[in-house]
Amino acid sequence: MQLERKFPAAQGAIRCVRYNIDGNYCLTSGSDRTIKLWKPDSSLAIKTYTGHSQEVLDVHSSYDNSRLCSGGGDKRVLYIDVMSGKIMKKYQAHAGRVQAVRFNEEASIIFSASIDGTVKIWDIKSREYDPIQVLDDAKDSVTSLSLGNNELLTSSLDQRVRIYDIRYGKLYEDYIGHNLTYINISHDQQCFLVGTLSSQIMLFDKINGKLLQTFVDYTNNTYMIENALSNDDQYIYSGSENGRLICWNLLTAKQICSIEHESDNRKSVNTLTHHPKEDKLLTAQEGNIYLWKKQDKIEEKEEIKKTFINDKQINTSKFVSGGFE
Amino acid sequence: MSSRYAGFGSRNDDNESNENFVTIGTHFDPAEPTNSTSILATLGRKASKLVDLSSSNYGYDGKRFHGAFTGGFNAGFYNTVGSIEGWRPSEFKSSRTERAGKRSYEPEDFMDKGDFSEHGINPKQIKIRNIFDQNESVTRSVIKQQSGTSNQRTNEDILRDMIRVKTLSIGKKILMSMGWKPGEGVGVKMSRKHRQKLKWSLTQETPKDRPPSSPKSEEEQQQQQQQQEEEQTPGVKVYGVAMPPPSFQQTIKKTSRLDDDDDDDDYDDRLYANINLPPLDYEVHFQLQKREHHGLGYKGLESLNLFGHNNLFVQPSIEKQISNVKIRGQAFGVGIEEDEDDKDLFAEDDLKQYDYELTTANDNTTDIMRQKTQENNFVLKFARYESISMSVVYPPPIIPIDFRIGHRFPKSAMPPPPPPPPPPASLSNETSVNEPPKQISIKHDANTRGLLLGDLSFLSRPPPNMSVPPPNVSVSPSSKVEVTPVKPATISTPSLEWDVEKERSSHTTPTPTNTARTQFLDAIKNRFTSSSDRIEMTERQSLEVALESDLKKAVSLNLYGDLTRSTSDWKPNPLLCKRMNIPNPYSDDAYDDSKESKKSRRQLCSNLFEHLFTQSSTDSLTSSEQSSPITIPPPSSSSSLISNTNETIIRSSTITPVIPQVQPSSVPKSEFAPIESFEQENQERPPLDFFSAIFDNQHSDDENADEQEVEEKKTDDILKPINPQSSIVSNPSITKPLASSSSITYQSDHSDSSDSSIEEIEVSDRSSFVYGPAIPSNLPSRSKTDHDNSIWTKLANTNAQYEELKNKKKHKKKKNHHKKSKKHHH
Repeated sequence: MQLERKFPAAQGAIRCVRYNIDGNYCLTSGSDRTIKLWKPDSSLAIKTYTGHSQEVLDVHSSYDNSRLCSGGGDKRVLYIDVMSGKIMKKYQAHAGRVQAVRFNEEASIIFSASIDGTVKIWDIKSREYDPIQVLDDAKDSVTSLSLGNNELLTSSLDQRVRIYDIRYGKLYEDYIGHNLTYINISHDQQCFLVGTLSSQIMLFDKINGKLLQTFVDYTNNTYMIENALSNDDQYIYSGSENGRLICWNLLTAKQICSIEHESDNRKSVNTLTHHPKEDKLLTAQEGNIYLWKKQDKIEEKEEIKKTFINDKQINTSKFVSGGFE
Repeated sequence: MSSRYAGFGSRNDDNESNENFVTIGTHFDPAEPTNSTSILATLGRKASKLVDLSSSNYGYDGKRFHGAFTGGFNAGFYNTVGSIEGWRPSEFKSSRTERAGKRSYEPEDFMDKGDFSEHGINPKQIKIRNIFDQNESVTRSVIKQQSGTSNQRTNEDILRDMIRVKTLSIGKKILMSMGWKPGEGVGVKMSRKHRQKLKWSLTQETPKDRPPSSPKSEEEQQQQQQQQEEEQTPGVKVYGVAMPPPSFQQTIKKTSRLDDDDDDDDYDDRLYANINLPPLDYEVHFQLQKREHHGLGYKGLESLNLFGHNNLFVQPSIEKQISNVKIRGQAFGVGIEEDEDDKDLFAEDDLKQYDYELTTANDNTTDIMRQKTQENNFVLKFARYESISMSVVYPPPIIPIDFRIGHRFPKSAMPPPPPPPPPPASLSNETSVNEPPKQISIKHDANTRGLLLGDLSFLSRPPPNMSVPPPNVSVSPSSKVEVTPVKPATISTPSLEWDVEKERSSHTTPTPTNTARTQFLDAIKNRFTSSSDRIEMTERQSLEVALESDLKKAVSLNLYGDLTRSTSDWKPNPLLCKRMNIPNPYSDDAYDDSKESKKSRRQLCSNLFEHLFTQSSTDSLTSSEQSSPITIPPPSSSSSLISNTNETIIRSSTITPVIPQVQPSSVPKSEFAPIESFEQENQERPPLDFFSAIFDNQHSDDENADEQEVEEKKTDDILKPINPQSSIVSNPSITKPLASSSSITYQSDHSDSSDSSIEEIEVSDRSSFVYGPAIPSNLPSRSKTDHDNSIWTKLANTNAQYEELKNKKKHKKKKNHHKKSKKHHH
């Protein structure tokens, strides 16, 4: 990875950085209670959104870039209009700070995970200000959530990953044995990546919960360090508590690179986001945003990758819109 | 006219023709080309032309002089004052459209064009800017040389020669014209000796025995100098800023033309005896000893500039207040009638002009320094540094050997003093070991301490029961211990008023917090298991523990997969499925949304404010009230949504009657009455308006056939709405029907006479609150035909009708939906 650009966000410590749907823009949320919209390729700050009364911990933009949702330390989930910056909805039912928020694909629902141990599901289209469903299966804080095509994955500090399969109406609880901080479903929807507080990232098969790979050699013991999969699911990126950006090969679990953000700053790199299409990565350390670009093609083993993917194909019952056949 | 433009073109001819013409300014050199190649010349010409034009245009006879009071040349709109047109006001310009625009006026906006002309207030003409310098002497010489050699010089060259960037400041320039050379000091010339003295005083350590300005003979001086030279040997310490090494000093002295060589001093003295030398070019810095204890750079009040004046003694002149209008002096405000002709009206009286001290006028430049030294009260010499204020380190006090920490009083001394300050850390361990009872003695409460100290002012009256050691009894450690156990006894006896109050408050305050806590507990109830079935719980716990250990084992063996995964059914909200575009795996009715009961939050809010209405704790009520949404059995009917709405409505209707007003003796006073009635109002009123407006008017007037149908239905429905109410009324306690709200039996013939009283109240209440169209007069008559003389039941009737309709609609919708879905499936 090569540092392409570095710019200060001027919003305190950056709590999260997220690309939008097409990767042209990014959103950052900071500890100074603001959300900022950027064009990261030119480090242009487009708009600042306010409304939270405490630091903003997560933000997500809708598929059409017209709305944002954000959750913060003030236990609120905000639904914000991008153009005007107006707060369209303000959901306030969590008992603890909101760790993660996510739109569904059509941006008609907001999922919010909180340290009160619940995931709450908010229907944006209705005028109700109560969640339509509360997932309170977790016995400890829910740290992050990831949304698959038809399932919701949550990671919790009760050392379990919960997969809420909406299509089958099942809840799969996977005991991992470590405190889980971040979960990421792969782009092929077959596996999920879990960041733990034991300095290892684990890759699991979503279907049967089997451990596929463990990625080590970085430090994550105290903070919630995010991880990311490359857009082709070949590489795994993660921040580290010693101020490094670390990249692994997904198949071999070999560490490809480990780059210091600043030679003199060893503060933890908490958040990062991978470009949805290109080989770009946005990370944030303290108040600065870093744009990384993959410098050259690292030799790839295409065949293995393919076989790996093929193995994972399972015979699920065919689903046709309108019902089962 | 051309004389106005001194230095500009068309000057040559005049110069040549009549020599005795008075010339102002310096002329151009005759060698200068007079044709248009010289830009400056053309510019000058143009400028002159412009001025000419303006004057000829504005003034009718060229230039007119008016406005004598202001000293202006022109006045009026386009200089029309005095002309045929006279004075014309400026045109009205509407600011309606550009009201929001910036409206800041410059002085120029109010000035005439003539003011910008050469003789105006603010002449605008082409000038050479400050940073450039029209170095005429240079240009002239250059031009002279150049013009002789070549005629191919371009305009730019001339321009470049004429206008060059200024290097010297005007002050320097003037000084140089007066014969000053760079490097010299400015001031009155002084004799060499004097100068030398001054120099020594400034550059070197002055000898201690000689003040700088004291007159001395030459020989002595020489001796001094030699001494100083000796002193300057490297072994000698130099304080303050070190002087450059002697060799360097020598070079300096040699290079400087005016400075003197020390070697041939006598010779020089003789040579320059009568020659005055310019003063030294030294910037004199006076290093003052710091005497006060302010911070560095502190200057006291005078620099604060509190009132806008730098000096409080200076009269604030008008000039400062009105910076633009420069009116000064006493003339401002002097009227005609004041006959003070001898006064200089424009004189300024300034306190600065007065002397404040008697001083002799100083005559010499060195006296400036002396003055300075006198002012600051210091002697210009270097003093050996002496440590003035060393931080004194006092040795720690010597502790006598027989000193024991903690005071031991003689037996007669009564009030125990406050505990001694904590001993040094080194000794603290010993004390804790040696004297444990002393620490107990610290425990006094306010009363005992007050008694011991003899201060009873803070008590309303002396507590009778308080057993405090009487003043005469010796307070040994053992007796002090007694004090503390007695304390609870004094509080338990509610003798003091504040004790009673305290007790009461401790009883009363928990009630709101209790309810809040129950709320909280309700919210997190599912996180805990009830302790009632302990065996079950322990079994479950042990099971869980076993499971957990199994899981851990599996994880330790890295056997993720079937061992670590547990699968359970999870029912997503149908709405969630809909929004996610995923068909619901379960039937829509299967989803039990009792968890996310929509009323929960609102109820919580109402309960939060409940303590405002309660005065005694009503635990049973609150619990039943809170549990009511949970205890409702899950709907068994096919349409869950409808049943839900029914439930809520029925529930609310059961609560609605204000029973305590009817039967105050039998029913325990319910504190929920205000809230409940409010709720009921909110829920009941819309149907009243709605249906009274829709059904009563329209049905009676328009559709008779429909009315019959409706009435037929009503006869069926009458039973339904009356019953919840009547059943409650029959039941003395409110809790039971609330809890079993769904299991209300349909008791048809319960027409209570007591109902009427409620009705009346309700009517009176309602009449003030009715919104929308008024209830028609035929309403009661109609109700009478229904053999029901209560508006209340009628209201319930309409309510029921409404529900019925709703149900119907929903059924229809559902049917449609089913049809559609069927179609879709097919």
